[in-house]
Amino acid sequence: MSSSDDIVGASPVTVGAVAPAMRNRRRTERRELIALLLRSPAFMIGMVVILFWTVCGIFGDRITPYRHDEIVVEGGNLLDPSFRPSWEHPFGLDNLGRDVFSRVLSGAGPILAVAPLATVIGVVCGSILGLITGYFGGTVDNVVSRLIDAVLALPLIIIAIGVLQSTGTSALSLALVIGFVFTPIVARTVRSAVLGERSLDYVQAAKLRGERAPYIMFAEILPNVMGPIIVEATVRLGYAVFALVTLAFLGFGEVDPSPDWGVQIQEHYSYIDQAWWTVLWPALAIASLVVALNLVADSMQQAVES
Amino acid sequence: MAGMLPGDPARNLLGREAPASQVKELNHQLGYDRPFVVRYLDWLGNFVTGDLGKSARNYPRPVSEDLVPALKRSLKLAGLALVIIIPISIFGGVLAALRYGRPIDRGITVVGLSFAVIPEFVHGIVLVTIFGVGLHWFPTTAQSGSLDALFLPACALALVLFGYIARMARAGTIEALGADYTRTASLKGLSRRTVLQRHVLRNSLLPTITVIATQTGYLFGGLVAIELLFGYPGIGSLILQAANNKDFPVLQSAVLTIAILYLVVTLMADLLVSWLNPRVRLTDDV
Amino acid sequence: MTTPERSREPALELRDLDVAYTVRGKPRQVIHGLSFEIPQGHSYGLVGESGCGKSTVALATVRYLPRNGQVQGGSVRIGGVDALALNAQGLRELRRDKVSMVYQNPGAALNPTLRVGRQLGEVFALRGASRDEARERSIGALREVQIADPESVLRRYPHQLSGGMQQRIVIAMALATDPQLLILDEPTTGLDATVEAEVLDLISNLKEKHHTATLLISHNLGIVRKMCDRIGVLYAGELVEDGDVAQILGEPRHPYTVGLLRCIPRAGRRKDDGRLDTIPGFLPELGEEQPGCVFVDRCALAQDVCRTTKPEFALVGDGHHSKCHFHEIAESLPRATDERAALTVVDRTAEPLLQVTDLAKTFTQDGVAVHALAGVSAILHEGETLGLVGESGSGKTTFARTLLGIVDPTRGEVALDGRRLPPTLAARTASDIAALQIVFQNPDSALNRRHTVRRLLNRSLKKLINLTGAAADARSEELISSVRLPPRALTARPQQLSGGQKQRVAIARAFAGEPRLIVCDEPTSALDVSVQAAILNLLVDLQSDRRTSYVFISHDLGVVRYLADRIAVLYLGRLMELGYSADVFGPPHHPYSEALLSAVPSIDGELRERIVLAGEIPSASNVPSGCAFQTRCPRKIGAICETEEPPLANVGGDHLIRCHIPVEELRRLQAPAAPPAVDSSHA
Repeated sequence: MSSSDDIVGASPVTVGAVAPAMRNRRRTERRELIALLLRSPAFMIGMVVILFWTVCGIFGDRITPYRHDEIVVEGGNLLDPSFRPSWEHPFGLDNLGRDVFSRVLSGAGPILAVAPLATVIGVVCGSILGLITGYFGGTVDNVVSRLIDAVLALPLIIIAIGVLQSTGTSALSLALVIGFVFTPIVARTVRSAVLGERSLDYVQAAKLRGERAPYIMFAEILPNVMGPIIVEATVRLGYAVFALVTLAFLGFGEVDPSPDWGVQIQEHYSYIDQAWWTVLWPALAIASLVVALNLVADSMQQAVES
Repeated sequence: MAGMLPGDPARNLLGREAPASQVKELNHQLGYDRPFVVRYLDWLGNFVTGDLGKSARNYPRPVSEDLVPALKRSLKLAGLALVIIIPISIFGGVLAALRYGRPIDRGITVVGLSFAVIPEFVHGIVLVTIFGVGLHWFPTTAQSGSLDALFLPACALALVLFGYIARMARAGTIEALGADYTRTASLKGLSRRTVLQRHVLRNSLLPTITVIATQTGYLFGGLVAIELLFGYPGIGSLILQAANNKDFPVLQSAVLTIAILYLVVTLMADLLVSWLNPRVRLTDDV
Repeated sequence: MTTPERSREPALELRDLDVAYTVRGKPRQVIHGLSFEIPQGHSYGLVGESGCGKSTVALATVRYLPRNGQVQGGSVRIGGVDALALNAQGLRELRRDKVSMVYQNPGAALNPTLRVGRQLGEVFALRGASRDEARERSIGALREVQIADPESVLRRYPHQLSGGMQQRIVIAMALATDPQLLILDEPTTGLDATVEAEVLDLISNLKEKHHTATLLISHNLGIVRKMCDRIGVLYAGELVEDGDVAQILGEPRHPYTVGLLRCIPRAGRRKDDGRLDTIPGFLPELGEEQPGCVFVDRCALAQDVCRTTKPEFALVGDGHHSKCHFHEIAESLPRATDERAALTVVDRTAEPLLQVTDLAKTFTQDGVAVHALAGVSAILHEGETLGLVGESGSGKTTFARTLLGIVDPTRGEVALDGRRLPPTLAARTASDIAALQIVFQNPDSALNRRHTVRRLLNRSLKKLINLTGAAADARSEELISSVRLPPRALTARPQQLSGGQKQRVAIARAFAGEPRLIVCDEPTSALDVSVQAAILNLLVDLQSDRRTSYVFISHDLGVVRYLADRIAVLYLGRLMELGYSADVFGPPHHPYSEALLSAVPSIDGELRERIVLAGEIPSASNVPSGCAFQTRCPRKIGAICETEEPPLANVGGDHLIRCHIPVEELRRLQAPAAPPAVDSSHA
């Protein structure tokens, strides 16, 4: 039999050069990705902050100096000098005399309980919708895309307000509403990724094996769009927090005595001139969490791209 | 849409203690006892001719009396926000692209994306605390409606948009910089400035226009929170009030107005892009 | 036009050029010690396969390397000027006056948002012309590149013009300033054969007229032979041989050059004449340091000295250099693949395997009817290879798709073993589907990058012939070894494999269901010449083992001639000629086949006068009346060609030609001594 070209070379060196090259590349691929992420300052800072808030959220009252609903000073008001930030109460006291520092720390809890759920709902539903519209195209795609465009014509907050009006503001309804609002956004991203894949020949090759649509969508195309889906999911998580605190601020969040940051701000924003500490710290807490989530999402996208 | 929400309008108006017969009478007067579809089509028809109906809360005050001035005020605020942020974002994006890979590029990108994900009211609180309460440069509420009072709320609205607009400008510029036609232009011996102006930017800014249009959607959404924070009686405040009061005529009209505004803006952007992009404007012929 | 004052310095002189790219923080050398020169008015062809660094040489010369590339050493002198030492102003002047570049994909090279006139005028404005002057000179430049109606073209945007027109405009822009050096980087890749021939002729004429030196970079030896005086062979960033065209092609003195020339099907060679030779092994990794000869791992003549000492770029003949310790015996390089041919005997008396009758397909695009395929009939026997030849719009892809059932035809039928096949894939049985398979052009997109090779093969086995479990595993191992890959390839994912290896996997997959017919859609166009040879050998061997038939689509006529038993020539969806390859490739044959053959530059044989085809290929939505080819046919005989479509006539020995000219007349007109066809200025 004639010698092949690619594998059996003229000298043994060639064969050796091929074997390790093939095996190494797969393991290093994943390791390189993780190494890249670990080296990225954005990723590390983001993860540290997220972990911090997660710990605060899980342990809540068990690690804060005061309980979140504990009234430290009875019968005072915000104009009292004792309510201002001090050594005992580094973030000051709120209008009911509760320690703001403790409340800010526990505030992560309610948010981190609902945001991931909303994200999962949105990403799963959106991905399925995106897969279907991207793969089938034609009238299905046209109709659904028009619907998505129509829904997205309205700012999401307004849709959320509209629906929450009637359903009430339980954790589940918040998660469902936000998930529902995210579905078209995720669907759009997934759809365009799927369109990119659909034109590739392996999809043709699958059809030429007699594969049916569900197999092609989930076994062939989906693994190739997981990257963009995961990145989109982390971005959505940031926006889930965004939506939750904004709705809380507008009065559609949990009720007092919840230490939810949006609720805290909602209760105190009219006092901003006299008692800025009651809103600034929760605001900065919000900023830190969303920015951290976004940094992680962005660094993951960078790592996947390179 | 809002008409489907539970809550008896007449009952809301008259209160819990009112006798049932009165409630029924008012519902009939308001037209709420008709089938939903009839009501909706009727309302839509009226909307198109400019009759937005009457407020359910402050019956018989016409909706337009509150909605139109509120809309005008919001447009003023939104306009100011766009005027502030569009030039800064485009400049930032192009600058980041030109200094690709260097610290300033990473800086602009990270800052931009961070701002984009921080809720508008959080921007607002930080701005107010520093520039309002701390430095006393600007008032902390916008009720007066003066340009001075609108500056902080406009910034709070606008900062959210910076990230995405700058990112698109950056991406478009990077693509244009790496394109073959830029290579052709440089290799002709043109000066760097000419290559940038005549070849790169013309191509890079087209997609940015589309992004700006979609971002106005987020702008309108941000109005609700910002107008609440700054006590500004615009259409966002109106929507919030109407939702809380279950005042459906007002709510419906306001929401539809915003939707229409958004569609108009995107349509105009599409037309603008088509007009500027010869590939779309002219058909192929050999 | 007066020849401007030129210095007597060479147009281009490269000395010991080193270029590196910084990848993931580390600089990797891409070009090592490159030296050659191009005297004024001469042309030099730089050839090499992918990854050899040819484009990098061009970019380094004009100092337009990407951000992460740097020149690390050596010198570049253009017309005596040290290009590397220039400041920004000097560089601009150099680019404006002395050197111009033309590269592939002319559509991308033109700014889509500016009118042609503006872009072309820029060049003149740079030299100080006023707006009117610039316009006048632009019109002149367009006339020089043979664009009719230049005024209207000036007003157009690039996307409104065809690929051929766009490339002419780019050439006009490049030559407008009368540069000393013109660099052409794969200028005709992606253009149809007939259009390519026109562009190359245009470049030849213009460079003669302007006395411009040219550096032509290409992977195609035929083009380089036609256009250049000297050739340089680039391998892994090093120039391994250079000399004039006759020396390189006739007496190569480097094992790589020898190997390369043996890989290409030359001089009408057919598979029955023997296997193509191949070059074993792989390119070295980018930026790897090579203490010895860069080609040592793949060279059958390699000795210890080759591993330890880098050979000199020594003079081995009159202006002929080679970088090899054993250059004298280079031509005696032993074959890597033995020459014995794998013959398949085709029984033409038996029932045909495949019978295609009047297959046609019309698409509707934006309300316009596109006649992609207009009634093609053909027969294929078991073990036979049918080559499909044609330019863009010919319908060869549509033909393959309707055959396979991916697209359902507007009319016509396909019969396998005498049994009619349902037109759509969904209606066909599993065994029908398994019987007709495909190998795609691009192996990267044809294999799902998230699946392992084993999964790819096992899935095909399951769906096509319902083979699972241990039996499927065993069969996968058989398939992998039949395409000459090691068993460990089964656990690999496509990203870990090279282009050639991926294509072998694709072939293994096609054979999984024991097909009767495989459509090969440009299977080697994306591969290097050395890899292509191995894949072609593999296809021939597998055919002789299993008696599978092939429908082989390619734009490379040499490859089609090598592989195919019978050839079908398509033009605008119509079959123009069908016959044995010897019949189609020589007179008497259809005027289109004649023109196509003369358009393709070959390495061997005499340089004949090319047959010029007028105009561009018409669009499939606007097919000319009568004979589809009449608008461009150099042998058009008169009105009958415009009004009546000629029938497909059997001119003897299973040779079908669709032409009004009787075959005897064709034989006379196309005889080698006869005068060449006249341009279409007919009565």
